[in-house]
Amino acid sequence: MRKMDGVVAIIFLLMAAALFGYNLTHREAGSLVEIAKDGQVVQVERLSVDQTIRLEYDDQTNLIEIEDGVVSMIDANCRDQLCVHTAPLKTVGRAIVCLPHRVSVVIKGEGDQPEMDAISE
Amino acid sequence: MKKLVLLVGLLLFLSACQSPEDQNSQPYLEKIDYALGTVVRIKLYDNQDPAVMDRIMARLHEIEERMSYTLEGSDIYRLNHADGEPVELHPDTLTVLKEAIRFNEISGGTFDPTLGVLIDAWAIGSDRARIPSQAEIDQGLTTIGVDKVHFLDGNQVRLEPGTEIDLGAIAKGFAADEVARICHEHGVESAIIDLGGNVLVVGSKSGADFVVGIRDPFAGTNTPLGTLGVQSQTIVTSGDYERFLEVDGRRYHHILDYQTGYPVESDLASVSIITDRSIEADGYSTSVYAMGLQKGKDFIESKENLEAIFVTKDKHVIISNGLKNIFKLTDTSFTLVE
Repeated sequence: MRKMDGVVAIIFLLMAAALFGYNLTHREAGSLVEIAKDGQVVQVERLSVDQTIRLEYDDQTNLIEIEDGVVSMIDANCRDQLCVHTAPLKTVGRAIVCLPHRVSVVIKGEGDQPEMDAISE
Repeated sequence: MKKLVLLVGLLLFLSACQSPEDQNSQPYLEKIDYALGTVVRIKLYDNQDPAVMDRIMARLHEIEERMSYTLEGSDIYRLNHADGEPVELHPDTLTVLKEAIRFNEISGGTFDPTLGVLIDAWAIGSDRARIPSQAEIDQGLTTIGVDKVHFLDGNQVRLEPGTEIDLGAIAKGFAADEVARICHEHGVESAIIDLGGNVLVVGSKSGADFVVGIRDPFAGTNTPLGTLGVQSQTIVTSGDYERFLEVDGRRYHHILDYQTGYPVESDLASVSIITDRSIEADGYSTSVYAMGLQKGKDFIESKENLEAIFVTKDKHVIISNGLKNIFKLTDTSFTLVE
């Protein structure tokens, strides 16, 4: 019986250690991608799940891609295209904004913490 | 055996503790919204009260409704369409108009709130953007001049017919200062106010500096060329990349020259102003951009409590004396000139 206890304990120990190690190296797994229209959050996705999100409001389209923990605006039919030219996001707190369509995409939660609190431009 | 169980328990406990609160990041209440023709990002760090956030947004919309050039019924719209008749302005609008005229004097004319007709003719940043005909530009130039603005009794102002006011180059600065005031009044002593890239930081981040990046004018949004740590300061940047019209490979940006009616020819790609009040930073950034590097640097160094980061078109970064050891260049494709 005592021997079995030890085996069970070691199995738990290994599981706990694995979980601990996983959490240390995969913090970004908890990051969320928050998509808002007109200042209201309309969709929340996991940064760890690759997908393409199509937002359509009347004739305004924005195509957002999440791939390998990076978010980009890959297409939009807005007039200035500034959102499409915004550098892809992987850091918490950074945002892509489509001003003509009033669409914003921001990474929230855990993950790579920003080295900057804001950018003057 | 007991030790082993304790160890397992400890490890499981540590695993469970990897929550966001466990990290160095400071939690904050954030709002991303739209006002004053731009995207607004407000982060409240210490007093995360949604009611304060609502008050801030309401104030921003109020300022927009008073100072918008395009919104029918705004003070500025009524003033511009009064055909020479006196118009009663809200004290907010009067304050900003007077500040704008003060900047016209300080800047030696490069900052001009009476450029309304020409700004509207170019319409840079809108879908009506185009190069106006020379006749339109010549006509527009005749409407310019702060001597065409007459302050009457009380809050009444009269414009000479044909002249139009545009407060776009300074209203966001005023708005950021107002947000800071609301923060202080409601016990928020740690916050970031970002009005379309005009940044004002309230207080500090638990005693530490807020780190603000300076946008690389040759790259897209979110790409900084360097950073600086600040507390209770504002950083406003003006540049030729913010809003522009491209025709036949030529770029026409939104900062107009009061003498030619065309975009200002500057050797600068951008200039960032660092000071206490955002209306000052906003007014100075446009003025100094138009002055260019040499005149702009001399101007900044002649003022107390005014610092600047100049980025030239040939990728040199020049910082004012007060920013040595504060500004850090992170993009090595630029050359820092001390």
